[in-house]
Amino acid sequence: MSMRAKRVTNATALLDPNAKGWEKIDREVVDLAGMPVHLQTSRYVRTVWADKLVGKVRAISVRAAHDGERLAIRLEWNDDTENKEFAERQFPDAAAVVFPTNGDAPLVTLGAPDAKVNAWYWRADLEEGENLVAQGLGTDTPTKDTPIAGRGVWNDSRWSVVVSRELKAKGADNVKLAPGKTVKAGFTVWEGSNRERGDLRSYSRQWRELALEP
Amino acid sequence: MPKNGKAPAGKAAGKASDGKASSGKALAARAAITHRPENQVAMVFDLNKCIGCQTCSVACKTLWTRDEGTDYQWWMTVNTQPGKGAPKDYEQMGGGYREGVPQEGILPTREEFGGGWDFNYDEVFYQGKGNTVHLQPLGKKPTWGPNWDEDQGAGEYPNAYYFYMPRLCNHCTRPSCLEACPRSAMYKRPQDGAVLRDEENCRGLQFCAEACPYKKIYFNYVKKVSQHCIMCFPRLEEGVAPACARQCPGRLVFVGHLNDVDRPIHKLVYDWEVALPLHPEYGTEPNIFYIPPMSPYRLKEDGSLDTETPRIPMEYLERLFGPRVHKAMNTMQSELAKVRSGGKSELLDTLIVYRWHTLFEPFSRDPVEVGGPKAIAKR
Repeated sequence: MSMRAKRVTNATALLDPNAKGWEKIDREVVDLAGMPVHLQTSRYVRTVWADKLVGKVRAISVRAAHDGERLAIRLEWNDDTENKEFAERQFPDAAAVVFPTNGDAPLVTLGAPDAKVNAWYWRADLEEGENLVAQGLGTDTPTKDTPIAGRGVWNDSRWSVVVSRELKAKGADNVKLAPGKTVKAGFTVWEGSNRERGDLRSYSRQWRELALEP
Repeated sequence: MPKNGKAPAGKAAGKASDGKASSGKALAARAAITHRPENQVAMVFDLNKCIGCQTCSVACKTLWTRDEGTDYQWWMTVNTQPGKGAPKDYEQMGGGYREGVPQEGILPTREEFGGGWDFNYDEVFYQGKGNTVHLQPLGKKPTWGPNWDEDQGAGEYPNAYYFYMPRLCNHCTRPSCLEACPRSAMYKRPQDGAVLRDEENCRGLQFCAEACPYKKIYFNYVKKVSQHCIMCFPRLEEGVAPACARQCPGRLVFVGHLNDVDRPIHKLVYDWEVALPLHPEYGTEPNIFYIPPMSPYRLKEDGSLDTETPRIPMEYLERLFGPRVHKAMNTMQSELAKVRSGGKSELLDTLIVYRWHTLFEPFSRDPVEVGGPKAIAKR
């Protein structure tokens, strides 16, 4: 069953994670799992993290809305520790929505050399979101030409994060979006207090379908 | 500061070969990635000459770490030994390899590095309080910094002892930092073996800093990338020695190619075996070497000389430089004895350095000839 991006009149108003408009939009809970340690590209990471908990955040709730011009996706998860910065042996909390730009791109490896993925990335210490392109673990690279709005609010041990992009975006590496279209999406979260960064994170295992209402 | 350059094609860089890898898959999985570029640049520090003046530290500081976020970074530090080092207790922070297996490392904190403090200059110099307020760091009281335990050393009077230990990135042959980076943002240059980072590709994950057993990688909290000594590669490219070596008033730092059999570094490391890496047990094969410090004899209780026992305990030197330190010290002692009895010693002549430019060959060019230190750094 696919998740729906509800058609609203003004998606820009939803860039604020606390916007009232989000309350009218159904949420879907997505289970997350820790990224497999054996897939990590660094032998140091594979060795040192072999017996450690990877992927502390095990579920997020997702809401999505668009107004024909812009898609906004709100992610929410429980987190007792607000990690806003690179700090002493801690990393900023982060999250991303991942889209395949090639139908066969695998989610667990964040794409492949011949199958790129596009990610809308939010990190607690950054003022803006980032548009990432990846073709395998450890290859995620920010692209400067596509603005991604990203904003997070931590309240009552819970992060609420909105990532958003205009539907229209140039370039083959950006996910193609349009009203009435269904795209695949994956979700991933980094828990900074658990020193999660890079490909140490939790992820949604499978692509989910996200249908933009006509 | 120049970009560290792009990683060369085939990022494993240079002659990335692992001699042992061919003998079986299991072994290959355990062996650390080894890089042996033909023209590995190495340095030898003669600790017998180091006076702890920090000119090397400042030469590096003024040349490379003046940008935002680098205030607390001292790519070159000189610490008193025995001591806790910089960052504090770095020898207890793990990293490196044991039998080829990566060891978990701890990320040093900003406070454990110390340094980069802002001082109350304004108050003392411009607000008329020069006689009532002393110069001190603003904010939280520092608890550690570079060379914090200066000249404390160890031992009891009259047999107290200490010596100085300049430390920089070891530009290792098995760089655990490089292998730890999940993004292949680090590489070892084939032309000189400098271990560098492509800052454009660095995302501040800091696995490099965890995995470095010498804790010589710093995090730039402004640029949000890791940074470390770049072996003054723009100077090397111009035939100029790294600033720490060139500026050393004690003339104690040799720079050159490790494989150049006719020059001092190769002889000191391989022929005489008196130049040793720090903590060889970390398994990363440093390319920075040290001539261990000789020390005066101990005094007995009656004030007479104990000619059997050096004041710096050999057990301590062994802890720093490994078991080969015994042979190195014996060689130094016997060469000294040779000269004292009227003989000649090529080893001692090499360490005396009659012509200081020979320290650096083939990097003995005067930086002024190529536009001055700042101009080279900007290239």
